[in-house]
Amino acid sequence: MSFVLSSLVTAFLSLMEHLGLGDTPDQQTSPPVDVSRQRKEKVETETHPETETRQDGVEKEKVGADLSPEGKSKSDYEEEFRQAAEAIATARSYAAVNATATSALEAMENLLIAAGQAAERPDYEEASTKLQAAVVQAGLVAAEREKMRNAALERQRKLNESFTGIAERIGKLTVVPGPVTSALQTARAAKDGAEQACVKKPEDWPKAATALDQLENAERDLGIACVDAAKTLASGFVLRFTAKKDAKPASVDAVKLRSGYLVAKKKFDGLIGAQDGIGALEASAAVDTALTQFEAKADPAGSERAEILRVAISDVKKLTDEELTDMSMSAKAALAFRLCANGAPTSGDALDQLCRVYAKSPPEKAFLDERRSQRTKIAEKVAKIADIDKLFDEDGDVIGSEWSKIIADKDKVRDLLKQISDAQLEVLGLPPVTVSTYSKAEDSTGIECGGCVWSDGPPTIELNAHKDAIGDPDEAFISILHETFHAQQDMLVKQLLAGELSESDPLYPQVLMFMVNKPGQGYLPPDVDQDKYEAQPLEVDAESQGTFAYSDLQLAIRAVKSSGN
Amino acid sequence: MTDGANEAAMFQAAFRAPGDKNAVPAGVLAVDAEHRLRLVSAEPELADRLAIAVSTLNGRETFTVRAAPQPGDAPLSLRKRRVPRDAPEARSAMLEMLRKTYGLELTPTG
Repeated sequence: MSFVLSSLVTAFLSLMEHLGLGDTPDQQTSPPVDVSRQRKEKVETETHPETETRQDGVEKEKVGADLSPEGKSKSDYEEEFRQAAEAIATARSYAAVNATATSALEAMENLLIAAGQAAERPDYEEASTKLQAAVVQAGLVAAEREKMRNAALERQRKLNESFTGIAERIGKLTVVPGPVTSALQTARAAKDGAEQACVKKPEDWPKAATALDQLENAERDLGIACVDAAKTLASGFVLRFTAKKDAKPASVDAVKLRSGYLVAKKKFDGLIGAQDGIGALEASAAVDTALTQFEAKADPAGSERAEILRVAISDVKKLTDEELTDMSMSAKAALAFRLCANGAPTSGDALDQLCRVYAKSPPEKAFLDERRSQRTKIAEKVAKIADIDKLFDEDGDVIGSEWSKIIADKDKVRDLLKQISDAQLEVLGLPPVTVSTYSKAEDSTGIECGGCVWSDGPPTIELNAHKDAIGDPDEAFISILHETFHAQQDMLVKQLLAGELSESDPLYPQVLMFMVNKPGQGYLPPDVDQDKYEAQPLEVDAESQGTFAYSDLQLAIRAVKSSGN
Repeated sequence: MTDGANEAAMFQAAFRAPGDKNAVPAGVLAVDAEHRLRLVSAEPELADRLAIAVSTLNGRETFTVRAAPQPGDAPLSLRKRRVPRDAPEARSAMLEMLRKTYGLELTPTG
């Protein structure tokens, strides 16, 4: 039994030594816990054979060669005690690190008392058993401390690593906002404090944990300071951009630089949203650069705009129709932007040349291929709308009596047109828009069929539900398809302006042309020649696709009817 | 070339979708004095399109063509003008609808 105990204690002490966790003699002499010390003194008095003294002061060789009932000798017990002493002293030497360690320490002291009492009887076998159990508890105390030490050192390593990473990144910023500098200093002080707490002798891991908490909080506060600083920068960017965003672009470069800024700003905002303040501050330089470039091109002075226009007119005039036709859509859009540099042309050479550019800019093949596919899908989707299905006969013709019921009720008209528009936009991957109706009779200038209103917000569609306008059902269908394509054009232009349509997208050149043609930019005035008016890119697309889509719809309905679905 | 019974003129119809460079033969249509259409023959793959075009346009009392924008018209607005069947420009209006809506271009036969 004593061999086992000896081996246990020796192994434990070896482990402590191996781990470099053994205590120096100085440390052992100053255990921090009074209860332990008091108990230790009590136990030493009760159990240590060498120091046991009778009350009358006469030393008594009490145990001598006495044997316990099972045969364990005093000397065996003395050897066990000697071997256990260091582990017990180590357990007593520091504050218990947690509740488990406190319980173990308490148990150890109680077992030592019990061991002493057993030795008094004398029952060295019992004393030895209690002593071994006490050593086990001492091991638990040390193990808990070890666990906390390891946890604290690992936590310190991680916090140091993150702090170092953050500090290095902040050090590379071109400009470090004041609050960030201040928070960095606080975090650095907390890091130093945590380092001191983790190397302090004697070890005090609960205090070290507190210091690490402070470091963690300081790093969190530093992150918050970075996010706040980034938000402040964001506000500044918004103010600067707002001052220029409504200026009419005088060049395609201004459009691309605007998109470039918005792409950078979106990434920047995303980092702020993800609470990545350092990342946002790092990204802010790119945002600032993109914004500065945009500001330089966004709003040229009046004289500069006039010069851009003058040169553009001269350049376009030099081009033959064939040369103009052969230019890429992007190049033609760039010319159109320059022709609109001084505002939307209303007369003279600028208007003439702009009309010429438009007339020589039919939709590109990539765009037309996309439209062909879209029309087919739109027709198939609309054909399956129940309210549409019951309007048509098996030949794909509208049933007159059914149509009469619809147009007699303006709400039914609006609801039906809205269903078509919603289905069309769904196929185009876009959200639905507001569709409203009004009523206006034909006059000497013709019939207003309706329109699509572009604004800062989503586009809206307004259609004339007067019987003069939609008495023929074909006209109602064609009008809603036409105006919904205009709504899509608006959303595509907004995507381009927001940097959400990549320059590598096959549709980009066409949408760039839509943008220069947009109302308020290069949309032709009503008094222009009708052929020229209808030849502008926005109208060519909506008119040809919206009108033709109706025949696709009729064919789809006929197919649905003939298949019996 | 005319159809004696209805005094209808005969036209070769060709089909061209928006953006197509070339038109493809679609069939033959007869057009009478009131601009009503009759399907004489059709390429199988375009027969439905021709049939719908004929049915739809014959069912209309008037044709419509895009009208010139007027001062005060909002951008992107759509304005049309109705053309009665007996109006001088009814034939061209019908042909324009046939072309824009159905992609059908007519050429007199013979």
